[in-house]
Amino acid sequence: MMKKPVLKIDNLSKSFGAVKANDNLNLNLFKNEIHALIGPNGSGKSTLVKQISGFLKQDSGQIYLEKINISNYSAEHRSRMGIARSFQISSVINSFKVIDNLRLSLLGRDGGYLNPLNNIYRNKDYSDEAFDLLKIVDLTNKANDLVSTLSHGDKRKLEICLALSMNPKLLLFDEPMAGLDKTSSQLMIDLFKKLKVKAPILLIEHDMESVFALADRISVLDYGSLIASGNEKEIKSNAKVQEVYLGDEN
Amino acid sequence: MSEKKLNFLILISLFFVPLFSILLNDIYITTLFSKIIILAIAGIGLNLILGYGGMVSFGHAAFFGLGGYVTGILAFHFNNYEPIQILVFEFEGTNQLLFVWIFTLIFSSLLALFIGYFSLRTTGVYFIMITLAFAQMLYYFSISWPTYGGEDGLSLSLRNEIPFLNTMDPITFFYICYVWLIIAIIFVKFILNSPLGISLKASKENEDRVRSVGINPKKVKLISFIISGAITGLAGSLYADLNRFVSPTILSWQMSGEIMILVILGGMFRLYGPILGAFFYIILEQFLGGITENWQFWLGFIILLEVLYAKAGIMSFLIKDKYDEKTSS
Repeated sequence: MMKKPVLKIDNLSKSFGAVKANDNLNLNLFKNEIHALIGPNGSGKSTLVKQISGFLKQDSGQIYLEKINISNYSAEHRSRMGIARSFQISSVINSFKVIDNLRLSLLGRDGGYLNPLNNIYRNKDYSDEAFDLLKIVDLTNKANDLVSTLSHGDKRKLEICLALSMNPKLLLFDEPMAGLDKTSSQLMIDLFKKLKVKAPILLIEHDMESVFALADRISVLDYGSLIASGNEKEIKSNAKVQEVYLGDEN
Repeated sequence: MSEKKLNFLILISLFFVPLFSILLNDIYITTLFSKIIILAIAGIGLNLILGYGGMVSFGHAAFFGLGGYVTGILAFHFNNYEPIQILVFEFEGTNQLLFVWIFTLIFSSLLALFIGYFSLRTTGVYFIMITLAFAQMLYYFSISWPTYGGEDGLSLSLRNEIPFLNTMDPITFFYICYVWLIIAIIFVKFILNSPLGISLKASKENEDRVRSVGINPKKVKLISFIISGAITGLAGSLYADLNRFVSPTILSWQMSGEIMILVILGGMFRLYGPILGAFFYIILEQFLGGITENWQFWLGFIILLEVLYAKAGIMSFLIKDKYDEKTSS
C-alpha cells in the first residue's frame, strides 16, 4: 500500500516579476521523515517554506495538509492546523520572557486569544506545559530570562520549542543551525532525530554535514525548479547536483 | 520609589484633592483636577493601543468628541422633549448619566470598529494619516450640523444626573470622574495581563511570530482599538458634563494631539503614565499660560527635551526600577 503524504505540494509556482522563485514544484513529506531541501542561495527554498506556511501566496498550484487543500488558508489558520515553522533569522518576541513566548504560542494554539479578562500569567496549565516544552530543548533554567538576553543558540532552541508547542503535524525549519557552533549543531541534530517521530520535518539547511546526518530524503532546488530528489547516496552521485551545488562542498 | 508605590501615591493624592481644595478655599482646584482625571482616562484609552500596541492613532479626538456629542445630544433632546431620530428609529433624550454612559460606550465602540476596520489595513504613517482623516471628517461634520450648534457648539443647561447624587457639586463630580479613572485602570490592567494583552504586546513587536503561532494580529489590534476608543469616548462624555458644553473643538486634531502629548509626556508603556502626563500638561497650561500667551511653545520645548532625553516619560524620573522596554510582564 502506498504511503499517504502528510504534506503534498502540487505544481506550486511563484514569481517575483520576471524571476521564477518556484517553478511547478512537486514535493511530498511523509510521516517519520526528515526531508531536507538544499540548493544554492536564491534557489527558492525559503520561498517554498513561506508558501507552505501561508506567509506568501502562491501564483498557482496547490498545497495539501493531510489531504486538506490549505492553499487559500491564512498563515494563522495553517499554524492552528499544525504547520509549525522556524524562521531563517530568529523570530521571537525579544521583549518577552522565554516562558511568555511559550504562553503566547500555547494561547495561539488553543484560540481564545481575544479574551480580555483572564490572567494568562496565572494559568497554571500553560506554565506547566511551557516548562515541559522547555525541558525538551534544555532551556528550563532560562524560563524567566528576557529573550533579548539569550544567546543566538538559545534563541534557535526557543524557536524550535515554539514550533513544538503548536502540537505540530508538520515542522518547517528554515536553516535552524545557521550560526550555531559544533556542539549546539550536534544537539539540534539529536533533537531533530527524536522530533521526526512526532511530526515530519521539512528542513532547509546549508550545512551539508548536518543534512547528511539527518535527512531521510533530500530534494535539490535550482532556480526554483526541483532538479533531484532521493537519499544521500543518490544525491551525492547525481551529476547535476554536483555541478550546481555540491561541487564546492565535496 | 518603586512603580507600585508611585502609582499608589498618585491615586491617594488625587483622592484628597477635594480636601485640599476645601482647605485652600479654592473649589476651582477640584474642577481643574476633574479635567486632569478626564484627560488621564482618555490617555489611558489611547495608551492601550499606542504604548502597548504600537498603533499611533492621531484621531482619538473622534472618540473623545463623539462621547461629548452623545452626551450633549441626549441632554439637548431631553430638555426640548423632541425625540432623536436615527434612520427609522426614534429615541428619547435622557439626562441620566448611567444611560448616557451606556450610549457613549456603545457609540464610541461602533465608531472605533468602523474606523479601526479601515485604518488597520494600513500601518505606520498611513495609519496616522487615516485616523487623522476620520477625526477631521467628524470635525467638519460637526461644524456643519446646525441642529446641534454647528461651530458654536452645544450647551448643557445642567449636568446630567445620577440618582441621589448632586452632579452639579464639583466635589461629587470629581469623585464620579475618580471612580471612572479607577475602573479604567483596573480594566486596562486586566487587559494587559490577559490573552488579548499579551497578544497585543507581541503583535506590536513581531507580527510574523504572532501569526506563526496561530494568532491573527489584525483581530487583536481591532479589538484593542475598539476598547481604546470606548474608554476615550467615555472620557469625552465626562468632559462634556464637566464643562456643560460641547463644541467641534473636542473633535479637532489639536485634541488628538493633546491626548497623545499627555501620554508621551507621562510615559507610554506605563499604566499610570497618562495620569502624570495629564497632570503636568494641565499644570503647565495653567502655569505657563499665566506667564505667556505662547505657553504651547514652551510646552513643545519641554516635550522636545523629553523625547530626546527621557523617552519613557515623567514616570521614569520618579521611579527606581527604571523603565525597561524589554520587560514583558
